[in-house]
Amino acid sequence: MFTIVGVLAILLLLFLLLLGVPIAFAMGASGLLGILVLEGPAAAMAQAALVPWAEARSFVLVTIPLFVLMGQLVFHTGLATELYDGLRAWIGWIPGGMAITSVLACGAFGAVTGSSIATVATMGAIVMPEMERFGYDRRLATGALAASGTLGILIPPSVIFIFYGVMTETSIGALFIAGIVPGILTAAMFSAIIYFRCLVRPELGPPGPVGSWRERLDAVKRLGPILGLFVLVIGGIYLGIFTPTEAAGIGCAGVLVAALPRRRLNLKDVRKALEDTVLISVMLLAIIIGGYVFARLMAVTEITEALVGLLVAMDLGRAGFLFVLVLLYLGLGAMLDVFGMLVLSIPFVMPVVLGLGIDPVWFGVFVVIMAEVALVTPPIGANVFVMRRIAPDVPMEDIFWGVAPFVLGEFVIILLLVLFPQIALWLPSLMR
Amino acid sequence: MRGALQLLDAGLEAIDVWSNRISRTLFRVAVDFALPALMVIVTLDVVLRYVFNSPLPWGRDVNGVLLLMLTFSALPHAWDRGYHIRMEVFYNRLHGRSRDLADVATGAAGILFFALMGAQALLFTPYMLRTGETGEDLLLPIWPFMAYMGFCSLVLAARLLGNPSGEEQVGIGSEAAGTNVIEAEAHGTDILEAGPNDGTVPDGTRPDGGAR
Repeated sequence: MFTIVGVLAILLLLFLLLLGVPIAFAMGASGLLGILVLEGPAAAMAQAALVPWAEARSFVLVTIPLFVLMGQLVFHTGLATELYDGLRAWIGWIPGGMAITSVLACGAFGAVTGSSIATVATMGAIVMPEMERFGYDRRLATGALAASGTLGILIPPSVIFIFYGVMTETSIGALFIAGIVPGILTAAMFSAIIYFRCLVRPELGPPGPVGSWRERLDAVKRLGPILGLFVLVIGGIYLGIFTPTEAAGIGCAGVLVAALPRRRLNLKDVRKALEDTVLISVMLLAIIIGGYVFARLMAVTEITEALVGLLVAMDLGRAGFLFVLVLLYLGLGAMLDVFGMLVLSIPFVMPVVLGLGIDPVWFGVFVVIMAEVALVTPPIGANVFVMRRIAPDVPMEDIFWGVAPFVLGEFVIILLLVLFPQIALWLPSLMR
Repeated sequence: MRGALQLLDAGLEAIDVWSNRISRTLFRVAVDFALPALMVIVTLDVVLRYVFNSPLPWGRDVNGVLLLMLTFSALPHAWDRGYHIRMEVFYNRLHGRSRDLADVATGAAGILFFALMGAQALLFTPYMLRTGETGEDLLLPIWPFMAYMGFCSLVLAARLLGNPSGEEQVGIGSEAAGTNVIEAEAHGTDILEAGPNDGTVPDGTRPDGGAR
């Protein structure tokens, strides 16, 4: 009886999702209906109130609005332009230099925003006109920007890491630190792809002007605020000075301190940042609440254990299981956004991950890289849509083709991560 | 029969108008009070701990309550502003009756979830009042927050009656339109509004021109 109700609830959930019912509602309603059938109306009513009461007061979840606010404040400050100018003075002159600058600038901007879309929207608007001016190949330019934007969710702080950490009760601090090396590796991989393509075919990305040493030294000063914020937030977490929630609060204060004396933020911007933060955060928190209600039903029916047993019995092994997951996330990424991908898969996948002895921190990095792939592959490819808005004269198809070499690069990173898990786990193992 | 339908229509209209007004007021509570307070208290707690070796003992309790207020205050208005995550691949291709069916399913699922939540939270409130339940570190009664959660949930259920599709309502928060960027990870194809941002590009033009 319990298993049948569990399976029916999953089918109902999938049906509602396909109909376009918001994920939070679909999970909450199907979870409550299942509990109603199994345990009666009193239990369903009680869970309906107790789950949000418990979860919406969680100190860990405070991290979400505060890091989103930090990203929103940075977004409005204009620090991104300084960041790009600073990096361009150093590397704009090499083959494909503007595109490589955009990769590094996206990585650095992602280090203070935690969102790939914010990164691609901000950097794309700054860099794309510049690359057009220097005659860059449009596929290369748009592809590099759309793909580099994904660094925003891998390099900490990252809203996706927070979401994963909350769902799996994995240390958010450890996840942030684990994202650093793979993030740097991904940025290096993207830069190498651009460099070698432009070396072979120089017309793809002509070198920019060589900056004088004075310009370069001035540029270092411009990188200061972003570097300072990153060191403050991530250094604080790494050294055990702050919890991620506290680091987020300090990060918000840090952005204000960096921006106000330079008159980069006005009251209107701050109000806008607050409004957007509330709307974005609530959207994510609602999914978490709905997800917890559904998880209660799954716990009652023990359906997760049955699925885990089934997968373990298939004896796929670690590599086989991860290969299946790559396929699963490519499929889910074609239908759902990143948060939907996580909320639907993690409750079922995580027990198997733990059962196979896979480190949950390592798995968090793996999942975020798969989310990066989903952000640039059709049909959803959120970053590509943003890029299309920034470069409306470049056909969508061209942007997807432009992204393709970087997607291959992402798969190489995944392969390296599977072969050498220490890429993600080395830094967290040194944490205090 | 016709009179009853007219009465029902008028009733729904009244619910729509009033819940809309209330949801906007609640949203201001989240934006102007809960979020800034959350940021200030978290930061202050760290500063007091490291500078004066005296953290706020009630910090966690208050932050929890503020997060609850932020979440539930903003949920009804977020619905009207189109801030929700759904699988849009199929939904955007639905038209006519099938789209209506999807909206009815959305309304039914949302109302079931939030009306039950609201009703039960309001039922719990007198019990919490009687038992004098307080926070762990802050000896403040917490029943008002349970009641607040229940009230906001019922307002959201009312908004679902008024706007079952969850599409952004014209005129609501229009001053904010076009700059919703970070949410786009969650918005799939809805992210085309990603737009203006900071400063100027190196050649001196505003970047938002290119982004729109």
